[in-house]
Amino acid sequence: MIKRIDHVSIAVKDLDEALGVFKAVFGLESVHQEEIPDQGVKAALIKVGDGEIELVEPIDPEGGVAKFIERRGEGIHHICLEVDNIDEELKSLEAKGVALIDKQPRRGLAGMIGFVHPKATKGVLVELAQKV
Amino acid sequence: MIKGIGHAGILVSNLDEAVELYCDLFGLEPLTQVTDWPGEGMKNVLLKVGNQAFEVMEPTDPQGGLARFLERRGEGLHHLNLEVDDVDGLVKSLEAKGVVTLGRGPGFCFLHPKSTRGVLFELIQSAK
Repeated sequence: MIKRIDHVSIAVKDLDEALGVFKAVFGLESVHQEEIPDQGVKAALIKVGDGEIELVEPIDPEGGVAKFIERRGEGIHHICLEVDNIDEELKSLEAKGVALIDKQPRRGLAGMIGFVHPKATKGVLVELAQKV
Repeated sequence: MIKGIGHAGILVSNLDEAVELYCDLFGLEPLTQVTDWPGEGMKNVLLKVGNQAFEVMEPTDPQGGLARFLERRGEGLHHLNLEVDDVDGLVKSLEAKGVVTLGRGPGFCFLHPKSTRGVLFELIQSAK
């Protein structure tokens, strides 16, 4: 079951500079920063009410986020929905024939996560996350 | 003050098809019926995601900005809506900082993506 929008992720070229913009514009500050090598990014989380905005800067020039910025420029990259059971969600999507980037949950910033391929969801890159 | 994420706006080429797909894949339910917004050049449906929503939009004006966006970038995430406690106050302070605003109306305002790292933000007066 989908519980809520956990975060919206924004691809940026320069994390520190973007954090400065979000602080100056909205008065929002990062609560957590981390490198996520298997996604080829460094990320910062900004608290917005009970959800979050995630900023991601590519550290791997061959990674998905680097390619996204090259193709489309900076902007909204994906949306993460919190689920109560990630195994079940991924299994049920797979059974429906939905293209998944992750067939098995893996550890991410938002918990145990799995990405659904945007070709299955009208161009929207959806991350599902179960809190741990 | 920013209170939270209200909804994520998703632009698609076929509203009925997208709504059916998202409801099927993610078990979401519509909060609204298909609603036509001739002034905005689109029709939309809100889907319930917990206390938040997806706004699924299909352009209806082939000359409008949304149709051009769809043509240029394809289907996908379009804007991020934030609920705030005082839109007018916040917009005044943003404009003083040089943030460019777009499409302003009673209780809402869009911010130009060039001011916010490519993200089209919609600020909306929170009802909560």
